[in-house]
Amino acid sequence: MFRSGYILDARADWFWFLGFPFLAIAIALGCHEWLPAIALASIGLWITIPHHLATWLRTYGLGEDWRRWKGALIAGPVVVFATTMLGLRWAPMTLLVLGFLWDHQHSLMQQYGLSRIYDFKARTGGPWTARFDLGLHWFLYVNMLLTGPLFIRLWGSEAYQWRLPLSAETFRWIQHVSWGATAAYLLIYLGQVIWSARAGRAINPVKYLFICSSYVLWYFTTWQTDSFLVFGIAHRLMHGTQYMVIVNSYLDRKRAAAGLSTQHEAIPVATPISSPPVASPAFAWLMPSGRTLAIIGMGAAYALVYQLLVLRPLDEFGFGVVNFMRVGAGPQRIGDISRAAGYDLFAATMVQALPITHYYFDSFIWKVSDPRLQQGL
Amino acid sequence: MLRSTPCRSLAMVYVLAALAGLVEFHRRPANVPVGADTDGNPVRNFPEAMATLFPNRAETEYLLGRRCEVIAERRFKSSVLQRNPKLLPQFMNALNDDLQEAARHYERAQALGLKSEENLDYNYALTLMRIRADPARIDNAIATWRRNFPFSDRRDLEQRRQAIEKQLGAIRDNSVKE
Repeated sequence: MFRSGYILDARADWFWFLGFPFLAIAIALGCHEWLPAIALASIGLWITIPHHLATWLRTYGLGEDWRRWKGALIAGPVVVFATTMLGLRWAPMTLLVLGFLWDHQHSLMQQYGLSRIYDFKARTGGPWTARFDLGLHWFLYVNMLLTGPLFIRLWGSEAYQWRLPLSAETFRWIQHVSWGATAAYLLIYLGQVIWSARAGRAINPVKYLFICSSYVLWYFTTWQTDSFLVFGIAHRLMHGTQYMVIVNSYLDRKRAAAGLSTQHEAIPVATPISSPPVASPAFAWLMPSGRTLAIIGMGAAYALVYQLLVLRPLDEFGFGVVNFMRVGAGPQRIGDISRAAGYDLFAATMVQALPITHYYFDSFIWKVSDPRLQQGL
Repeated sequence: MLRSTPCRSLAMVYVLAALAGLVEFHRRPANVPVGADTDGNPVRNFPEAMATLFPNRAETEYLLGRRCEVIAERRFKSSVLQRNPKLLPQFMNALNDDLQEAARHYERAQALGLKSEENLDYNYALTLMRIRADPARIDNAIATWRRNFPFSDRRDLEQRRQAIEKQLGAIRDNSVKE
């Protein structure tokens, strides 16, 4: 009935995927207790920005991905950056809402994707498991957004801004409906798991531990803390770190399959692939045998360049512990203002468009059902 | 059924976003003054809804503080005051009461652990300046804002403190003359 399977191996999974959310909560609570609010920006620089680099490395670094999605990889960023600039100018609220919604969809899809990998690795689940899992993630995540005080604060005030003044009774009604629908879906899901087990299909318990630990992080920080600082730090730590871990492992296995030098051996491939994933020369050069350290170093360098480009202080790397810059903008000459406004638009475009491009790429490069992707899992 | 491809999914997202953008462009919700419908409406306002749903939470206290500030600002801009300047002392007293209440809510929000809301730290310091609180309290509030948001783009609170003190001094001089 039960068959365990791991993404990396048992020990690594217990740390990075099952235990890490709890560590992230502890770190976030520590930051809230002992550090100023700027710690959230620091986590963004050390984790979130480098995890975007992991996407660029995979999409533009692997010859196979580049060849498969060349059109989307070239046109996508052009469309995203252009529309972001237009949005900032003419529909800033829409752009913010788009970024907010896509960010959350992206977060839940990452945990869904990782739970699919658990089934893939353990060869568990049936033909309907993927759909039921997707429904489970959507119900749990949307319920958190609809009922958690941290998020009601956001979308509730936004509703008022859009001239939809909801009363406390309406909010309460929405909460009841959401909890009811989630409970009903959980029962259906449980029925499906039991039915699947009775039909002789094995269940991977590690997958459910992983889903539980992810949602413990999200629900705990949404309900039990009163600050986006805790939610933001815990969420960014879990999301960014797990993403970098899986990309690291994926690139490693792809490199092994491509015959490049590697520290680990390639795992057996479930489905034979006709063409091997040849890495681009630049990628091969970037990924010598000390690959993990190289990725960490490149992530830090990338965050540094990003920070310089958007003209944010480098002290933001310092969690508020390193703080020597003066607060407040200095006086500006009239001639500087138009140049500054132009650069502000560029910087704001970078800040908004880079994550959206990352969400977009992730929406098609991580399909666990794809045999070529399976080669790197 | 059409198969989902990277280009199709991007097109779908952006068609929906473009429709929402058009609505925003025509209705301009961003131009609705913050507080007009959200915080200050006497019948339906977001802070009171949040206070009913989640009492004694830091975010709620912050929102209630914002509401008191909005009410105070609206009182100050009243046309009655412009028509009859003799009512100024009475208005100033009411304004002071509203701002005292705002400061109490902000203090509770900070005590309950709300750290990531810059407006809380910034507006709390401004409110203390406006009610002429003990200078040490104002210094402390400014220091908290600086510690939490050392790279803020907002106007420095010391500059605002000087401007507010000047403004309050002028109002006091006017009321003495009258």
